[in-house]
Amino acid sequence: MTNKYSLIRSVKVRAFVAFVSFVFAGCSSVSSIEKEGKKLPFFGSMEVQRFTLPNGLKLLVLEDSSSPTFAYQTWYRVGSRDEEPKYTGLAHLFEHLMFKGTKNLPEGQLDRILEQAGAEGENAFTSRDYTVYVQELPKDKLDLIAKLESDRMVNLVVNDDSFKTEREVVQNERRMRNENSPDGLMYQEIFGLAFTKHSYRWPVIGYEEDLARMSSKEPREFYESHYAPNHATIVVVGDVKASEVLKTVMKYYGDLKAKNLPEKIVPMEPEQTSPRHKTLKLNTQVQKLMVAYPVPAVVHEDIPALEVMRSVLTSGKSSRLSKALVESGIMTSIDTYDLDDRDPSILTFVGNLQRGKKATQAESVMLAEIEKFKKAPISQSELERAKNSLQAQFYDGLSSPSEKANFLGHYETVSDSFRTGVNIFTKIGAVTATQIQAAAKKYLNPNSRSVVMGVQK
Amino acid sequence: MKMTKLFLSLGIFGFALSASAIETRFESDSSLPVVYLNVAVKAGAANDPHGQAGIGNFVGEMMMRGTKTRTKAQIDETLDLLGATLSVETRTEAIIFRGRVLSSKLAEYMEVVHDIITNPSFPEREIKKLKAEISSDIVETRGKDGPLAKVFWDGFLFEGHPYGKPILGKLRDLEKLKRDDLVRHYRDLFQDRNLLVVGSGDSEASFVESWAKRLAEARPDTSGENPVHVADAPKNPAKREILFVDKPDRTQTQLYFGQVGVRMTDPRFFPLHLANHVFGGGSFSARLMTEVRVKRGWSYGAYSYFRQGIRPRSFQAYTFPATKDTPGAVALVDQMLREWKEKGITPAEYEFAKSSLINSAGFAYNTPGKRVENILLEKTLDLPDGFMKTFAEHLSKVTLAEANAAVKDFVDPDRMHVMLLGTAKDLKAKFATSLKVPESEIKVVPYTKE
Repeated sequence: MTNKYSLIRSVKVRAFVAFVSFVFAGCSSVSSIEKEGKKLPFFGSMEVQRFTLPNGLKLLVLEDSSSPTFAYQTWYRVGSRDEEPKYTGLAHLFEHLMFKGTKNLPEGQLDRILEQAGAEGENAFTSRDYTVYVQELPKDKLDLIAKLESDRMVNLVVNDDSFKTEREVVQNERRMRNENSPDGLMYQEIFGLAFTKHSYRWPVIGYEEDLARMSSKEPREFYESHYAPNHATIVVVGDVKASEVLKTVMKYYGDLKAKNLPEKIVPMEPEQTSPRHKTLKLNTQVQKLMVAYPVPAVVHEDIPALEVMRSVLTSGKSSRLSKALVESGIMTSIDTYDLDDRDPSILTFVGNLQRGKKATQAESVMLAEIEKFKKAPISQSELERAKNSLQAQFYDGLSSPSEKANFLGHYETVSDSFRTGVNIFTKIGAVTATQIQAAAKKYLNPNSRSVVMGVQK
Repeated sequence: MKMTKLFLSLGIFGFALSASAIETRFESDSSLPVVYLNVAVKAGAANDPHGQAGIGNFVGEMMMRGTKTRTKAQIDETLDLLGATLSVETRTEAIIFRGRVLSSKLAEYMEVVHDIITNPSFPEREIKKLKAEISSDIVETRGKDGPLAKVFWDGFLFEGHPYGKPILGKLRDLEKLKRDDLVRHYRDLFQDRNLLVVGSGDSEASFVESWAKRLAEARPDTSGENPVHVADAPKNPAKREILFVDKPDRTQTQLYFGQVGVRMTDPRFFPLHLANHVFGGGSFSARLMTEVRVKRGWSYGAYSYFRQGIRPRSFQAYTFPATKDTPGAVALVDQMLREWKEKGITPAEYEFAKSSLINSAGFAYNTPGKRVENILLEKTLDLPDGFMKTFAEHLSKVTLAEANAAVKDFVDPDRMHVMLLGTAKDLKAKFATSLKVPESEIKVVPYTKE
């Protein structure tokens, strides 16, 4: 489970304006970059080729000829983490504006051209750590998409009228995801409770008053500060040749200038030493519960053990918490959100109560079960079960070109290398029961938990 | 058309319909060590008997809660140990057991699924527990405006017709369900002639076919009349029907306009599909999205779409504007539907929609997972084999005149159902004004009504 925002847009009919053709004239040739490119193992016999252009743009290519298509994704290393207080939601709002016009292309034409070319799943999403633009296309459209994406990387135009309309669209998205959604409000509150200093404390979609405060000036500044080739990774997976992809990417992005983009200094979150509780009165007829514990960043060496731990606790109907909370008739579901943030974040248990049951009771049972879990190593059978489940989930998440591209782009962006994700998967196979117990003792500290309960208004 | 031909070569399924009497389709794909296995019964919520709404879904869930040789706990433990998943998805006209397992564990997994399909025991204790869980899910849905509106919309559009039955059921019906009802419904639905095995992944088609054959052999002979009946086609009302679902404190509403739809095999379907792509069919350049979202910012989305059934099911336009913009959105969508009927689509819109739909048609079946879903649709909706691969071919033959004639013939704003979920004290009068009707023509129901 993750909370990402998928956006959709619309376009108007206008004549296509030809792009300025970029002529590569840099000091590095395609062949020299190709020679410096690396072939890195992925899963099974799959290999990923990684290239870095002189302007800092990273390119990952995975050849997969199972269908005459390819996924093309552009990952920018900017998300709500990089926003400032009072301007929350700017990264996501800006993502909407990326579908407006450029200096070369009138507003609406991007979508229209891609749609006519047979693009599938043209979309975008923003998370705490990144913003991503995604498409799948027939195999002969590589040149087209590279031309379009490189253009909006540097030539976007944000005018007042389109900004105002799109801000209202985002306010409506916020009404849908948060304001009128008990689950959305709970999710917003758990991050607001668990974080006091770090920018993960505000919602990706932002607060209503912050969105209302913005003018088109802030998105323009945001674009200048965060969108540049040296702040992005292009991921291409499908029926392509890596050498051809490199050649095409060099053709359209090779001359784009790198920018001096200062690294955002995000305040460290101080250690939490006492539990925090909040009760929300919601338009709900069953109570809801979220319990969060601080956990390390995705690159931390404890992540594989934490992954197995959360699987033992909540994955499958025979998991510890499912038996204690669902099987016992207290809750209808218990789950956790993914551990995938760039900075230290939270492991959140989330579930709905059965009719007439209290969230306070569920929290007590959960805490007791977790304390029991910490007292003795799990059995080999439980360990095997969790590992099998995680293995199947990993493979399940790689069943299409776009899913493979998601995996590569995600880990490449939050950790600098997609190999982090591969290594987590590999290390899970070697995690021991003792390591899981140690992780539980270290991270599932009742004094550092944050709890949000949703009750009927 | 070059890309379409390339796409058409995709997907080599093993086909089998032998003495086993359970139709089986499996596509071998060894790219990842995982197998996806679905067992579907060609009957769903529409087949729930009167007064037993939700029984189809309930039976499906109960089958995983105990067999003659395994308790629920044993089933759960075994599936989890294999790293497998098995869940029930109930649709209006299908119940599908969806499974995923590591290919190295497939044989053990098949044993459990075989037991679940052939030997469910429906233990009383689990019936009681499941009633508590599902009734909690039903009331939990009341907190989610989108899913809640969809339940009301189906009930309103198909009032008195099986297509209007809620998948999870109604609280009062669930409470009355008895074990004997479940056993009877299981026997009626889970007959070999109604079953289908469809999957893909890292295994051989022959291995899955052998398993399906053993599944059939372990089941009783059920020749004679098939108890699964298809209902008559639903009908539109003589005049427009209007419903307001009243829920407090809404800052956003759920708005539907709609009518009974057309089957995919209806000669009007492809002309309508093309014309709807222009009007609101998932395209970023569609009229609804352009007018409601891009120009006015009134809603995050605005769409129109057909839903399919064995009988004609539904066509609807849907959007979810801010409460403050709802009166305007109601009037705008109403006006746009009328203009669409009156004037059709333009030659430029026709050309654009046609090329977009044809060029992207291959994405409907470019992965094993999508091809599996297409087979499930074809078999459970009684469509010809391979129908989902024929969109490009059909659309290439549609003319502008055919598209506009189909719209004129089919779209019927004066006999549509219109439904709004929002806060009545803020909006009922404005809703009536936007639709140009007296308030008395609007039926208001509380959001907790079943």
